[in-house]
Amino acid sequence: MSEKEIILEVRNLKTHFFTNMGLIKAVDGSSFSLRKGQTLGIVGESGSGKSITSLSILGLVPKPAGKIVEGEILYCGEDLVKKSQQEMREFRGKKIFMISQDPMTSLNPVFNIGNQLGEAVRRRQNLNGRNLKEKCIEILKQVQIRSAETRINAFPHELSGGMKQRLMISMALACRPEILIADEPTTALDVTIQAQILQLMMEIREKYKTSIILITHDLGVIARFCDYVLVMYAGKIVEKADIKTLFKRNRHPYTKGLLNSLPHLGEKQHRLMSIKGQPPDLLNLPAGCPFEPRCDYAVEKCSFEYPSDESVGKGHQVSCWRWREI
Amino acid sequence: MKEESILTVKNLKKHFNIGKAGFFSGKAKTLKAVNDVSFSLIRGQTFGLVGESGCGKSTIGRTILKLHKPTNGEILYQGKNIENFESKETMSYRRNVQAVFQDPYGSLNPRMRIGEFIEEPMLVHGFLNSRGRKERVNELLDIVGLSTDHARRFPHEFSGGQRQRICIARALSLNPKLVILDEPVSALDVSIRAQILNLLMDLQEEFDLTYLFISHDLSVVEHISDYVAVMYLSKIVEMAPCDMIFNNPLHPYTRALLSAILVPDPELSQQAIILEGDISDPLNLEQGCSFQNRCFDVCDECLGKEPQLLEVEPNHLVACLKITGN
Amino acid sequence: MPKSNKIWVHLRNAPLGGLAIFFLFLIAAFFAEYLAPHSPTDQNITNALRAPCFFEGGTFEHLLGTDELGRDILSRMIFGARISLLVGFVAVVLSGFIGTCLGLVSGYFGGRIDSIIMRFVDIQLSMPYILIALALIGALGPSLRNIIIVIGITSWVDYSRVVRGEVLSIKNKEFVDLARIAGCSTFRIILKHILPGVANSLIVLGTLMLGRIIIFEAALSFLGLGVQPPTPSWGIMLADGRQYLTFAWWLATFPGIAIMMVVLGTNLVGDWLRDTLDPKQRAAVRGKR
Repeated sequence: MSEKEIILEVRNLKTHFFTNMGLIKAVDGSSFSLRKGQTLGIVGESGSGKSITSLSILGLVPKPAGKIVEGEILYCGEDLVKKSQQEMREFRGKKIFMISQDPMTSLNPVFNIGNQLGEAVRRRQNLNGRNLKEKCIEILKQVQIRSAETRINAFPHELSGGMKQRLMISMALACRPEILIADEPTTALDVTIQAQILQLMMEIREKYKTSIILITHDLGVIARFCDYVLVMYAGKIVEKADIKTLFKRNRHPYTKGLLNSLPHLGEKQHRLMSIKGQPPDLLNLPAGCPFEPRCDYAVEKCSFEYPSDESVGKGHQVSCWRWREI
Repeated sequence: MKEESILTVKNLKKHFNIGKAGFFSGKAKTLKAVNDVSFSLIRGQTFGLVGESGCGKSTIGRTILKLHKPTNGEILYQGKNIENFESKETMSYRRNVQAVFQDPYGSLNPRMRIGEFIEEPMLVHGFLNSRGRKERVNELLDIVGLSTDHARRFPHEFSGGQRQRICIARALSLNPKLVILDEPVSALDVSIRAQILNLLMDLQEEFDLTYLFISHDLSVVEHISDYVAVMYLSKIVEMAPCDMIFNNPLHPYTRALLSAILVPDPELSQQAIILEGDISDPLNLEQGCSFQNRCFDVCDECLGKEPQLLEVEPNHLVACLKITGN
Repeated sequence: MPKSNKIWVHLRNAPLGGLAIFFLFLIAAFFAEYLAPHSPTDQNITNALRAPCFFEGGTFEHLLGTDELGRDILSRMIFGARISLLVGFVAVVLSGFIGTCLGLVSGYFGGRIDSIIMRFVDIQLSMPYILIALALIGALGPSLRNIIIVIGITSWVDYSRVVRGEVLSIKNKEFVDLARIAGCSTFRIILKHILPGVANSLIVLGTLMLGRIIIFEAALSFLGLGVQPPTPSWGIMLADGRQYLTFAWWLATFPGIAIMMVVLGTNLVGDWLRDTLDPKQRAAVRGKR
């Protein structure tokens, strides 16, 4: 398989929040790249910085508290951090699209879905009136919304959770972006609906070869859907690897702990292995590695010096002083 | 070994009136949240109640806790119907039946110190004297893995996992026999879930507790339950000991549900049975089996006749005409 | 996160101006006897209508001038502060108590009792409050005590609505269910679990209502329905000074400015309290996934 070109490259991204309570380093020095047609997974828990990473790429970091203080986000050579609001608006919706966890926040409750989808279509194609309506119906059918001809007049609150996500996917289809960011797209959905939505996303990925960044805390979804994974903890990327390596030959205590603490279907254990301690308090991070208080492998060095990024193998990097012993 | 039944639910029905028949609102609608559900809770065991959103599992829990009045059917505690209790018997019931809910942020009164919060059930029941209660609070904090000087703090100083521990401490304060756990770990970070599940299992062993574990997360349910009931749209569709359900699921819904679970293992090829369509509108249930519009194994009889929950092998009950015959 | 940290942060944003004005008038009201240069009721016709000190004809004896009966404006204003703030605080407490009780009952029990109480609210709101006040004062007779009662009775409505709204959002929280499951009596649930949650909104509302009530009292006194002369009230001073506005403007202007300043002060403080108390509550209660 040939090396696919890199379409998005993030270099040493630092997004900080200046709040009344203190400085929060939501993303603290992330570097990764996304290749054409690749599905990149970002996995982490609350406070890991995964959502802020996607907001930084989109130029939607909440102001005035949040700010990208350092780093570059290169899309085909252009640095997105340096672009103006106007330029970013052009960029969003054409080249890059986001689906979030709660579609209700992305949909306008006052307009029917035909209207909203039509708006997305018009960004790409100059269609009007009946042609526009037909195009919308066609797209709705592609995402398997039944009775699209009548549904097109429905309002968002009349749709179920699964339907709303399909609608969001249909808007993504209309925009035909190069990069699709999906932030916890199925977390709020029932398991059987989640299966439907993921299936749909996979079909679309097959057909249009979109590059996808999938953000989630669910390792099952990652295993099924992604090619390459970044594991984030307290604003830092602690391990990155392709999917098989991450699940079978991981080298970071957090990754290991996370995988071990999941109950595996079909294997009833008496006791789950858990990661001790509490999630990190971003206002009071320790000096060295943020995972140190909870780490079974921690040594003295971990408490005052943050481990540098080291290469374990091809495409596999980890930030841990003791990765060789894990 | 004789199995003692702590609580028995018999033909429980809970209907809610949505809207009123009136000048502008048309006919009154009834939401049949729970429709003819029966099961028993065996002492010292965990009964897992599984289903997706809207299936009625939480309503069952809340009705057992006397937060709702049953529309029909009985809930028998020590042989007596809980609806017929006098106030003294209700107080005794409350001493023995406690709960832990899903949202660790909504479960604690933000203005109450957690020591007071844990003490409250004891105070209300006149348990011990003031000093005795304070000592018991310290004992409980220790049991759930928190430090005794946490008693003076307020909820906002604690993380999600710690708050659930506080809720568990409160639930245990009166030495209950039965604890209703309604999605106790669903709102927690993945790495914390294992801690709390381990704690719950340890406590069950130490204090001979009986659990009703309500959840939509099948892998967690498999891990902790002895006996499982699967619910769909207000009815139990399958009920069996834990390993039977997971190794030999019979009802089409159970099979679809299990196949939709994503195991965090990229090498496992998983073929999910994708259910078409959405869950039927619970306000407008059709004749016959409520699963008919999504079932991959549906036949003509399913449309007319409602399946009964019948035993197909020892201890394994299924409600499906195809499986149980007519 | 230590609690003290948060309090300091919020105190930093306190509206110093508003608080200063507020405390200034509070001190004036408390220590009127010591601060006022003259008695507010001493008449001296020969000294009538003297201009304030920096104007033609003014003296330092009467810094803000005198009224048509020769009474010192400044002293009357200081004593007037006492009336305004007294009426203000007592009426706020009275109406707050009535409104909160009704709001709690209405919100917690819902159903019929909620409908009945809310209909009362609607009915009272549909009638101009001046009319209600007129009718009640007409029946009871104008006096300081009666004006407090009348204002108290007509102002409860805002509280009950706000409290009812808060109760509705609190009563569905899990900790209220847990209180029921623990066997708590309804009374205990309302007192220990619901009321504290409502307290923040009450404090903010009370502060903002203070300004409204002070204006209400001034209006009633202006109409002659409140405190009776010779007791100095800013409202009465306004009424008396109205006819002299063109050539002895100081009679009405200073009380007018006083009313404006007190209300401004309470509004600033109320706004700041609302901002401090709410987001802290929200930040403390809501976590992020």
